[in-house]
Amino acid sequence: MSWLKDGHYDKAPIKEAIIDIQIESPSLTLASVEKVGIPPPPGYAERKKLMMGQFRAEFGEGMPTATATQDQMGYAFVGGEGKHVVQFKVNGFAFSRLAPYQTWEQLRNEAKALWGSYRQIVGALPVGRVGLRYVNQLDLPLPIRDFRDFIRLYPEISSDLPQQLAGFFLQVQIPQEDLGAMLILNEAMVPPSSPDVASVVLDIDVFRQGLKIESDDEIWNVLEALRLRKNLIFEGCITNNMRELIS
Amino acid sequence: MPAIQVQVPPERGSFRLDRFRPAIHRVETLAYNQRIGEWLRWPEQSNFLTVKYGLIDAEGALDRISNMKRGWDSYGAEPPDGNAVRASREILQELAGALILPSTIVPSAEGGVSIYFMTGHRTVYIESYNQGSQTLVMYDQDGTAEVLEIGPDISRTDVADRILAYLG
Repeated sequence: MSWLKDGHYDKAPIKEAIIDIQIESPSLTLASVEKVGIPPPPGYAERKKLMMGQFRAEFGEGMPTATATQDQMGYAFVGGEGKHVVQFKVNGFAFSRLAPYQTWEQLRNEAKALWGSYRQIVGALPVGRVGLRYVNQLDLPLPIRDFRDFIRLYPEISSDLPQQLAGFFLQVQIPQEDLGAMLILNEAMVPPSSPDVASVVLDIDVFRQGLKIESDDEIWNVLEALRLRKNLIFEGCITNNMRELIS
Repeated sequence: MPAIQVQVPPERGSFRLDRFRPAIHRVETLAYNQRIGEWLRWPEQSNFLTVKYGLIDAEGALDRISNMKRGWDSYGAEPPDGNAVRASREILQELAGALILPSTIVPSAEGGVSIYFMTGHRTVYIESYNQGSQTLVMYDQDGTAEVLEIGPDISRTDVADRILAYLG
């Protein structure tokens, strides 16, 4: 861990960090929330969910078209000069910090304040699921001799197969039994951020579910434990070459 | 075990890899897209990934419409040229920075590319013409419309805010 300065990398490859808190058996509906109305938290502006929906192109006969799907489960607000996105949903709350990532403390404190606003509106407890997700983009300098020089989780391609790779998507689900948590790790090749690198997304999602948390403090205690585990998982996925690149 | 058919995307740009060739486009097989779709709809939805894959799809749409032939609409319309596609790509990148993804991308009968953003009763589109100009058009179901030329009437850096303000 000598690569880490003050607990973080100077060039941390974090593109997004997400704190997700879901309510057990939500009794709210979007209609009931809309009746009350949800004002944007201080420093945030309302953003329709549509604007962050999934874009999907369709290519059949004739003219190509594309559509955006819409999640109507609540409201999303954008703040922090476009780097913070908070979702107030009927079944829970999610807070995202987009790049550049700062520190865990800043992420947690902002999320805490926003969770307080959400709780005032929906009065929502108990909490059934708490999750922490970090989406990293690792830019591997070209030419690459082997993925193993930089990452320690990769698809092994049989030497009997052609070795040219146009893309991959890999998912592993690893129980974290000591925490009563689950890790879902997604890794995928994505369009490179510049022509001289190959970019790989390392998406670490660690969460506890089936909970019945009644106190706010307990939520943040769970998140602290998940955060420490997330750091260990990240370290377990990269090599010293990668550490050098992001230090 | 079912056979996996991988569509290798075309090589683009001048850089070469000795072994690994990054995918520029989404690999369009049913299983792969389904898996990516599940990933994007994860309980804690990632804005970064939504925008990243939204741009991949948008790029795919631009690639396809840029290959259309003259008269694609049966009325002699010009296909979008390189200028219109480039300008569209630039505005898409800029809007993605504000977490705005398009609803639809279509060729314009005027010769160019139209990028649509729709919500409720309101629609915005940005038309990038082959001859180089760009317009921002906003209209609602009551027939009220506003047309601004990007550059003279509204700076490009203000387009995202204007779209968000109009679509609410």
